[in-house]
Amino acid sequence: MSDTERELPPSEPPSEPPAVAPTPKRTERAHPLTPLVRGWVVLLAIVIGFGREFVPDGSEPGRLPPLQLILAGIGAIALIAVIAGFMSWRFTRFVVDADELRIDAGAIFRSSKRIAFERVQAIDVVQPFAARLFRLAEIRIDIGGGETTQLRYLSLARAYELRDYLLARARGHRDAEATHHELTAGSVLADLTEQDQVLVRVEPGTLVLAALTSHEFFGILLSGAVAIGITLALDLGWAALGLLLPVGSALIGFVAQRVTGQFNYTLSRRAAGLRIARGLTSLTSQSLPPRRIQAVQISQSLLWRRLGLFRIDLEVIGWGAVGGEEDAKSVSTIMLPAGTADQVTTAIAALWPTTDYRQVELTPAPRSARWLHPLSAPFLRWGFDARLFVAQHGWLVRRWQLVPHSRAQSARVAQGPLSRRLGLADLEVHTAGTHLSIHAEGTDAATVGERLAELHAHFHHLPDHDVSEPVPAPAVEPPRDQAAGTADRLADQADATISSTE
Amino acid sequence: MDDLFAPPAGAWQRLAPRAAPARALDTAIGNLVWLAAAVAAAWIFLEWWVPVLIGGLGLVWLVYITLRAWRWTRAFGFAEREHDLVISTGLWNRKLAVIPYSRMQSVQVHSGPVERLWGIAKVSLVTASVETRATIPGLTATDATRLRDRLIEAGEQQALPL
Repeated sequence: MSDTERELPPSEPPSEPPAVAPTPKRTERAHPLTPLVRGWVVLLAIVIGFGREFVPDGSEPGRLPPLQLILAGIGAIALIAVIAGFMSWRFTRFVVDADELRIDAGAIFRSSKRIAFERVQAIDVVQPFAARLFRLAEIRIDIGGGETTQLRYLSLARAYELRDYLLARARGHRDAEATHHELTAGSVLADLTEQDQVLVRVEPGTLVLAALTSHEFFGILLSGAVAIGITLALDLGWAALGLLLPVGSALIGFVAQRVTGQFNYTLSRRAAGLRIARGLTSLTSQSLPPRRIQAVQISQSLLWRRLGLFRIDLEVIGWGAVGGEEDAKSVSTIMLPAGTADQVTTAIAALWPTTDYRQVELTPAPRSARWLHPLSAPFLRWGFDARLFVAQHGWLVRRWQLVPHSRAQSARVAQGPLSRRLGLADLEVHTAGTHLSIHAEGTDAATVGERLAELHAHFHHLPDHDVSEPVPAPAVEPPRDQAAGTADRLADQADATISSTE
Repeated sequence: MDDLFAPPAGAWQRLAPRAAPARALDTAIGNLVWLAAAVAAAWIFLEWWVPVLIGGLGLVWLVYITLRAWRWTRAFGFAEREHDLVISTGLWNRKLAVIPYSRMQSVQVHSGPVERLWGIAKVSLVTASVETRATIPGLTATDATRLRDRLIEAGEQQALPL
C-alpha cells in the first residue's frame, strides 16, 4: 500500500516526523485510500440491493429494467459517493507539531478543531475489517466529557507514531519527538514493540473455554431450553425443532463475539502507559487513562470457580456501561476478558501499583445476614486499607469491587427496618462513574459504626501521589511491599510467557 | 443500632419547623394527582365499587403520608464537620450520607413555589457522582444562603489539586 501512497499526491509523505516548526505549518491529510475504505459499506449495499434483483425468486421477471439503466444507476450513485468521499478527504487536513494538534475539515462549512495536548485522556487505534485489509487505522482521541475526535484513516505506522507522540505530550513531555515506527509482525497483530513489557496475554483457547462456561452462555442455553420445553409440552413438535436454529445461532454468535472481540488480548506497559490490544477481524489498541478509572470489578461466574478464571471490568468516566456488549464502534470496558488469579493480580498491580487488594483485611458478614442474603451471605465481605475500599458480594456471579479512596466521591450507610432488627447495614461508596454500584451488603452495623470515621478520614487525607502513579517520588529505595509487587509482576509475566509458548 | 445514626459531634442541626407543612403540602399534591388519575381510570373502565375502594384507601394513605412529613422533618439531621458534611435521613429506611467538602463541585439553592409559600429553600451539594444525594430540603431562605456560603468556602479551601 505504501507504493500507492507515494504515487498519489498527498501534501507530505506522512511517515516523517514533524520537523522543527517550519514557518508554514506542515499539514497532513488522511491516507488517500480513506474514501474507498469508508465507502465500501455503501458500495456493498448497492451491490447487494441491485444484485437481489437478478436472483430468480419466483416473481415475474418482466418488471426488471434494462441492464444498462441499472448499471448507469449504480454508476451514478457510486460516482456521487466517490466524489463526496474524495471531497471530504481532500478538505480534511490536520496538524500535529510541537505547538498544536489541529484538525481542519469541510469544503463548504469549514471547521477547525484544536485540542490541547493536556486534555488528551486516552487514544485508541482502531482497525475495522476493511481498514485492516489495507493496513490503515483510525485514531480516536478521547478528550473527556464523552467527546471523541476521530482521525481516519491513516497508515498503521503513522497511526501508532501519532498515538505515541500524543500520549507522550499528554503526559507533559514537551520535548517528545515523534519517532519513526517500524511495522513488525508483533506491532501489526498486537501493537507491540521491543520496549513493551507484556503483562498479560490471553490465549484464544482460554477465551473459548471462558465463553462456554460463562453465566451468559448458560443464560441463553436455559432460556432456549425453557422455550423448547414449552413447545414440547404444548405438543408442537415441529416448532421445537424450529426453535433449535435461533437458539443455536445465538449461542454460536455469543461465543464468536466473545472470541473475536477479545482475540489476541494483550495487556502491555510502555513508557506512555498501559495499553490493551485485542480483536480478530477488527483490531483495537486502547490506552488506559489511569486517572479516569474510578473503580474495578473482578467477577467470577459459577463454573469459573472450578476453572480458576476471573474477569475484570473497569469503570471509566465517559466509557459507557460496564459489561455492555462491545463492538468495533465503542471502547470496551473489559480490562481482562478471562484470566487466572495471578493475571488479575498483575493487571491490577499495573493499574494501581501502590495498592494490593489481597492485603486488605476483610470483615465477613455476621450470621444474621443469612436472613436477608440467604445465598450470598457466606461470601459477603467488606473492608478497606489506607488506599483501597473492597467489597465482595454475589452468589451465582461473585463480584469483588475495588475503589481507591481518592476516587470516592461520597459514602452512604443505609438501614431498612429489617436490617435494623438484625443489626445489619448496607454501605455504598459513590464514584464519578455511573455503572458499577459499589456497595457492601449485610454488614454488621456495629462494625460499620466503628470504622466509618476511619473510612471518612481516608477520603479526605489523600496521599501525595495518586494510586495510579508507580513510585512515590521522595522514596529513594522502594518500600518493601512495592519491591515484592514488582517481583510478583515479573514472576507473573514469566508465567504468562511460559504458558503462551505451550 | 442507634449509635450508627448518632450525631457525629454534639447534636444534629435540624430543619426549620416551617419545612414540615411545606413538605406535607408537596407530598399531598403529588399523591393527590396520582390518586385522582387512578380513580378516574377506574371510574371509566371498571365496576362502580373499584374507584370507591381505591379512593377510600388512597385517602387514608394520603392522610398518613401527609402527617408523616412532620415526623420526617423532625428526624432529618445534618452536621457540618471539619472535612465533610453528614446528612441523616429517613424513618424506616434510614440513611447516613457523608460527603467530603473536597469532592464538592457546586452548591445549589433551590426553592419551588410551594416552598416559597413558607419562605424556605433547599440546599444541594453536587459532586462528580450522580449517586451522591446531598440535599438539605427545608431551611429558611437566610439559613440556606448562609449554609451555601459556608459549604462553598469549605469546598474551596479543601479542594483537591487536580
